[in-house]
Amino acid sequence: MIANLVGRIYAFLLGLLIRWGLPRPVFDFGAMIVAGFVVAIFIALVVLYLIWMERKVSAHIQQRFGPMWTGWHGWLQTIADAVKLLMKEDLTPTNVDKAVFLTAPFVVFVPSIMAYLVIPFSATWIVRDLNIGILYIFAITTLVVIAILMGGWSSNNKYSLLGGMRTAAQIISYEVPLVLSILGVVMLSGTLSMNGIVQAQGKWPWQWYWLPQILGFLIYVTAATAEVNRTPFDLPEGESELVAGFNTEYSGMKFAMFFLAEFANMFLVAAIATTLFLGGWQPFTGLLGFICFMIKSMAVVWLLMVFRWTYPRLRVDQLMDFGWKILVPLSFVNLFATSLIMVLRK
Amino acid sequence: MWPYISGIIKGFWSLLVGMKITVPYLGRRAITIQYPKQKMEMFEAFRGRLALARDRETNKEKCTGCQLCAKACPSACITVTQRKDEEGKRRSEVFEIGMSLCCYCGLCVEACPEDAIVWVRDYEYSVYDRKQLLVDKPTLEAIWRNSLSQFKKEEFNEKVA
Repeated sequence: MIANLVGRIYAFLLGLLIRWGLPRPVFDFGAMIVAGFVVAIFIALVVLYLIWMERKVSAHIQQRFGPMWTGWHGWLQTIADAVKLLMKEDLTPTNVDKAVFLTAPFVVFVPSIMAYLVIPFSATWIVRDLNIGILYIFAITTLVVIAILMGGWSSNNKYSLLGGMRTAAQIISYEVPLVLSILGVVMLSGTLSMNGIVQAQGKWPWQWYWLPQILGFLIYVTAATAEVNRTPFDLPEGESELVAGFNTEYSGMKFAMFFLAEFANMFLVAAIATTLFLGGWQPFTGLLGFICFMIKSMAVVWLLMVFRWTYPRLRVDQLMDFGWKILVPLSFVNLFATSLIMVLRK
Repeated sequence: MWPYISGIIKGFWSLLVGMKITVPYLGRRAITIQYPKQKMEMFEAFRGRLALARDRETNKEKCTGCQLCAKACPSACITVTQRKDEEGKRRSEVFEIGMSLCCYCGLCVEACPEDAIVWVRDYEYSVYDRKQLLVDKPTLEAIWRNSLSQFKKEEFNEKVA
């Protein structure tokens, strides 16, 4: 219904403005800006909720309450924190590489906002259903590593540099099993389009790809945890070793941007997991489908949060061992087994 | 080959074992006391604040002004002078405790032969002005009266009366 409404408004505005002599490319550009704004607002809202949720989950695992005073059970706490970060002095250390230091927080946010464009929130709720959607996402999200490395390098601080370097090593290593683990899904569905993959899965949970691709799903969740730098793979910002890793020198709004991107990426990997393995917006369409999608994604996010508050951090060598000696071979096994079964079943 | 595979399976299993600990904790009730909203009931022997008790039935002063508490006090923060009341009984005239010096040792409470100086289980007694830390007799009695609601009756008879 809402998608219908959006479509009608779009058609109405298109007709009106073109009659008024607005060139089509200009209109398209405007529409893109509006879509980008909508996605950015959506990300901001989701991140606000996720930060609150993270604090609540962590608190309750430790039998605490977490924030309780700002609003009902502290749901306004994130907004209060954001306001506090906005009011802070915008500090730039003396010996940093200024241009890189200042752009890094914004560069880190760009890939996540771009990746959201191809996420099918519901049957028709997708900004642009690219026919290479999943490939696009993995191509784009790899850029995060550049931003983090920019932040770590330009800070001119040994901890930041170490954090940035570790991120580079980690994300590049775990990108391999991540992409290999989703190949099984791509083979089963026969498409790279995000919406196509959801449609290829049936209506009900036992038809979704988590069941035939259980190994792929587990590898995906593990590698995704590493991709978004969350515990037990939080070496880039390991507090006890590196102060705060790549964002040691960042404060105020610039720190908030890194934080925002981190949580946006967390929701992104959960949304991809939902789309690829948990049937996306199935079994409903429209608004109900969107709700379905959000519930599934939040469940995956919840899982990532429980991981964080359960497992201790790995050492760097253990991280590399685990990535290259276990995840990569396992994802190859998954890939071969899937193709073998597909060939035999033909 | 087998150690490799069994290692993976064992590792995965150990992850599940870890989750089995944390996830049930997620469902349990938090044990935090939300302080200004909820207040903790202090235990019986809690040394909160010193107060001057009166007799509960007759509301007569118990303190005889004998100055044993002042002598027992290691930091010499109690000042007591004696007077005689209209019945000719010895009572305290001035009774002051400098709470900024008090070390909460409780020797005055032990020394008191009349059980006149007592502990109350009140723990919210910060003040804005240092002068307020010199607590005089009416205040000490007011503290005791306020604390009465904290005590259950039996406990009161045992401890205070």
